[in-house]
Formats: sequence, structure tokens, C-alpha cells
Amino acid sequence: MGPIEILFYTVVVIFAFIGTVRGAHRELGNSIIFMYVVAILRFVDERGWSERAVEVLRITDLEAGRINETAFLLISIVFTIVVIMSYQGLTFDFSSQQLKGLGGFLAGLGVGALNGYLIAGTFWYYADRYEYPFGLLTGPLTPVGQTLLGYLPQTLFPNAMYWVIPATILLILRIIR
Amino acid sequence: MTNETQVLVALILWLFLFGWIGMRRGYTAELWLLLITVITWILLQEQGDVLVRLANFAGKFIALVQAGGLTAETEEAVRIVAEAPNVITEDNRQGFLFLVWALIVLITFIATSSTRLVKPKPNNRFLSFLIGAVNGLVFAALLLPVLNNLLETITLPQDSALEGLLIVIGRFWMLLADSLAGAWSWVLTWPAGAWLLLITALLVLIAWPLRGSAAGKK
Repeated sequence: MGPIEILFYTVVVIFAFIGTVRGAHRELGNSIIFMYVVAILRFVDERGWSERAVEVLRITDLEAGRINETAFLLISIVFTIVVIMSYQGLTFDFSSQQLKGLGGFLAGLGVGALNGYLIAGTFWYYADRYEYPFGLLTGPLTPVGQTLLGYLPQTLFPNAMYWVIPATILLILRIIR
Repeated sequence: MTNETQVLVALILWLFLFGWIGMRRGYTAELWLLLITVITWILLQEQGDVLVRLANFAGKFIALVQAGGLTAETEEAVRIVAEAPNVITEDNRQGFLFLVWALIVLITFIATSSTRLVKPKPNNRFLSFLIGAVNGLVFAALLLPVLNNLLETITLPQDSALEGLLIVIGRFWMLLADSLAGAWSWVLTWPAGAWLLLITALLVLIAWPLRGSAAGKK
């Protein structure tokens, strides 16, 4: 497998294209959810609640390596469920009105890329946080990968709660007509 | 064909192209573009220092905020501001002013193309073509010296137009890639507050025209 950042870029590009197809009016709803989830997951992570959840659930023999694997698995499952739910079925759309033309295409591309960044970045952050369990990374990170680690959704701001600000502004814009 | 004739034909083609764009856009839009292009160019050349000082002031203010100078003692704040380097120096002053001018021209072109901003009037095709061609002359005079910097660094073959085109495209591509790499390196130095502002501003910009029609649907 190639460097992990290639996988990261690929996911961002795929979601950017999904954004152009679905439109910014739908993607913004997903962005609101992802930004809140990123903030909440980091909040939980900072307090060590995910490890404690693993201990409470007693789903492992609690060796150090196993705790990392299980905590990563737990967070990944929760986040994956959120991602699937936000895209599948009755979705939380920002608006029923679609932006048209080049502006609409670029807006869909941009918001889709942001969603891809939030999703791929979150998985990467927790994979790194839990020392790449299940052999997710076989060699050392490249210099680009090391640099990008400082720009993931959880590390871009001093506190992931910063994501609540744009999410709340968008939520207010959605509610106020 | 002599060299002078070739230059003349190229110039006529250039003016015809701009004249045709003028006919498509109408003389009101072309006149606005001409006026704003020329006036902003003259103003930036003559009074560009005001903008440079403003940009440097903004840079120093950001440095002050980053260093926590807003809550510091007066002497400390003065020291931070004094030590903060100028964002725009003599080396990049011309490039900065050119970028500002190019942005204004681009925004004017887009804005005057909108029929909501510039009301379409009965089009005088000849007048539109004429002002469009004048715009072509103005852009040639303002942009050719800049483009010449690019062309000076490459040697184009005289006998093969295709090879010349490929060389120009290759050089342009390298220039674009270098500029993007430079811009990316600069972006990576931004503080967290700047990222937050940028992300929020972009999302609001996209969400603003969509507000007021919120409705969940499958």
C-alpha cells in the first residue's frame, strides 16, 4: 500500500465529486453533523472516555495493544454509523433549493471536499492516536504525512470545539428564514 | 510575409477577439470595464503606497493579536508591533499591486457580465465592438510587459508552432505548479484563527443564498 496521505487525498477527492452530484444544499447538512461529531469525539477522547468505555464493556482482555485496537474500533464504528446515517435515508438537508451553474458546481465541490476531509481526517487522526492498529500502517509516515497530521480536523485548531462555531452559524442560518 | 505584417495581423486578431467579446457583452459593460481598469491602474501606480501601508498595518495587527499583544502592557504591544516584519516589502510591492489590480478587473468583468447589475440596453454593435477593441489595446499594453517576463525565460522555435505551443504550455504549467506549492507553504503557516475565519466565511458564503428554503427531503 502507498503512503497513507494518498488514501486521505483520494477520499477527499471522492467526496468532492459526490458533493458536485448531490449539491451544496445537501452537503451542508452533512457538514453540520460532521463538524459537531468531530468536536464531540475529541471532547470524549480528551477525557479518556473511549478507553473507559472499552474497560466498562469488558470486550477485551485489556492488554495495552488490545485496548488501542478496541478503542479505535469503537470510535470508527460510531463515526461510520454517523456518516452512513447522514447520507442514507431521510437526510438532514440544508435547503431544498439547489445552487445552479458554475457557482453551484464549485460550492458542491468545496463542501464535498470539506466533508471528505472531516471524514478521512477523523479516521486518520484516531488511527494515529491509537498507533495504527490492525497493521493500518506498515512503515514510517512520510514527511508530507507528518506535516498533514498537524492539519487534521482534530489538530487544526487548539481545541476541536472550534468546529462548533461554523456548525452553529450554519445551523442558525438554516433555521432563520 | 514580413515581420511587421505578422505583428499587424496578430494585433488585428487580438483586437477583433476583444471587439467580438465587446459585442457580446454590450457597450455599457465594456465602458465600465475600461474605466475601472484604467482608473484603478493609474490609482494603484500613483497612490499604491496607501494600500501597501494598509496591508502592512493589517499584517502588524495580526502579529499583535497572535502574540497576545491586545492584553499586554503598552510597551510590550509597541515592541511586538515594531518587531513584526512588513508583509509587503519593496521586493513584492509591485506584485502585490498587480494582484490587487487583477482581482479588481476580474471582479469588474464578472459583475458587468451580470444582467442584474448592468441593465441590458439596446445594443449598439459598432460602439460595443469599438470599446471592446479599446479594452483589447489597454489589456495588451498592461499585460504584455508582465507576460514578457514569462516568455523571456524560454526560447521558442520559429519553424514549429506546435512545438512552441507545447513549450509555452509546459512553462505555464510549471509556473502554476510552483505558485501553488508556494501558496500552499504559505497557507500552512496560518494560525488556527485564520483557518477558522476562512472555513466559516466560505461556508456562510455558500449557505447564504440557500437560506430561507430549508426543508428536509429524501
